Amino acid sequence: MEDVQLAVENITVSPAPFAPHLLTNFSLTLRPGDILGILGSNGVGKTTLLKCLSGCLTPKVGQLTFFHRSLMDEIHLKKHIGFLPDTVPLIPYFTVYENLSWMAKFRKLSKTDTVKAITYVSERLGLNQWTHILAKHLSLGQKKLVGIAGTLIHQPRLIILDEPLNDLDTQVRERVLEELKTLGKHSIVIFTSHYYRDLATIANKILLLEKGQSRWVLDKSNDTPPPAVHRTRKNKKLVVEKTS
Amino acid sequence: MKKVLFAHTLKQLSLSQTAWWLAAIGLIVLGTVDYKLIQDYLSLASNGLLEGNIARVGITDDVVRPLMGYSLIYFVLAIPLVCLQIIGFDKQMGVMQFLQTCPIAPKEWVIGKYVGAFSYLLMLQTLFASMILVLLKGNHLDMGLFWSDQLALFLINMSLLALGFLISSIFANPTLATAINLILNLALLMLQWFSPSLADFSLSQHTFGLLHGQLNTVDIGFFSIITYLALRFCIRLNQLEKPHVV
Repeated sequence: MEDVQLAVENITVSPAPFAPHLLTNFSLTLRPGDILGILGSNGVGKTTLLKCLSGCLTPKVGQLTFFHRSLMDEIHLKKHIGFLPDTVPLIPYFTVYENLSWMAKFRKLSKTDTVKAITYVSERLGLNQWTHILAKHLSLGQKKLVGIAGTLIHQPRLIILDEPLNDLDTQVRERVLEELKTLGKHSIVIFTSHYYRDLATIANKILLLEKGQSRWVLDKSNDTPPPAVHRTRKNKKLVVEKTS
Repeated sequence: MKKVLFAHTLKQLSLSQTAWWLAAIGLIVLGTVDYKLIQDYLSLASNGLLEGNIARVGITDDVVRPLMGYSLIYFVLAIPLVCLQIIGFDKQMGVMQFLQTCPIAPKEWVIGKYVGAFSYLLMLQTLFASMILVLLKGNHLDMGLFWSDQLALFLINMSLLALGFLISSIFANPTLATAINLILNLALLMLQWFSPSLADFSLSQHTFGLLHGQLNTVDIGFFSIITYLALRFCIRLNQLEKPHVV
């Protein structure tokens, strides 16, 4: 299990070729059991970082290794990754079942495994009654939930979710958090949110991104006392203060 | 995995309204043109104007070849919309981003999607060809010319689709990619009229011979090279990933 390790070494990332760097010399190491929440205001690079960690964006500088092998060079490693981007990848004129089915097939699941996985994930997340509905007829929250189901369908070892709790109602939100907590026992889970409360519910590590810099606001795995976080409005900026 | 992507693309097109609209518009427009051409031919024949005119071979020259010319223009305009459906909307809906996180090499998905989209174009081409083949009943068609025309359309579709894939991969904005694709296709079609020195790169220059029943390896080579290079660059672009231009 120790082999499943995500190591990010001194990466520099930007969202476009000529865009300014959002993160420089960023390093991170995660192991199974780590649930990392990323906090930050708009435009600080949360999505760009997640794209980079999921292997769909190449860092300009630095190394990204998974299972101690470079994620950029060994494409087969991606079968262990589940990524939910900010735009839920659903084809509007496919039913929920068809959408989940192609997501599973692209993750190289066999036909039998695909049926089993769809049944399992639908039951866990409560999608059973929608499977025959066309994706274009779903609400935003339902689409998000189907997207989450598609991300978890192949039981990935590295789960990356970009603002998964947006558009979800309280009940569904709790169900998703519970599911992530369960999966987080054996996998690495990384997710973002604008709200500290959402992250703190299940995350054992919380990283704050701020103008190209990052700092831990919670790290239970290191047994270091985390700084208390006060969400206050001061000059319209998120302020994190350390208390004695 | 190429087969899965091929099947997925075909299913995507078979369920998309755009694909059905494109087929319907093509059938209506080309069907009307076909009907008009046959009527003109029949009126010339009934007036005896074709007798003794050695420049006219018959219904193949008067109906089939002009119809193939119109089909060519149809495909030049339709292919950017097919690319929009296959690549542009996928990009917009995050499907391309999803594919990049799957254990699929860019080569696999580019080829899989390309073959899927090309199969759809081939189906359209077969539908249009069937409009001509009904003329076989009661008429003599020059089948050599017919197959040469079909080859010209096949090669044009093959190369323009590859170019469409390339342009859709370069630009992140699907509408912009479609507009540029359309302008490029029209420019390539009419290049020889704008600049005679660039005639060798013009699509119409290379299809002229084929539409007249002259098989030429230079023409076939031209389209094959365009297809190969465009797909090669498309795969390369998606391998590099990846922040896109615009």
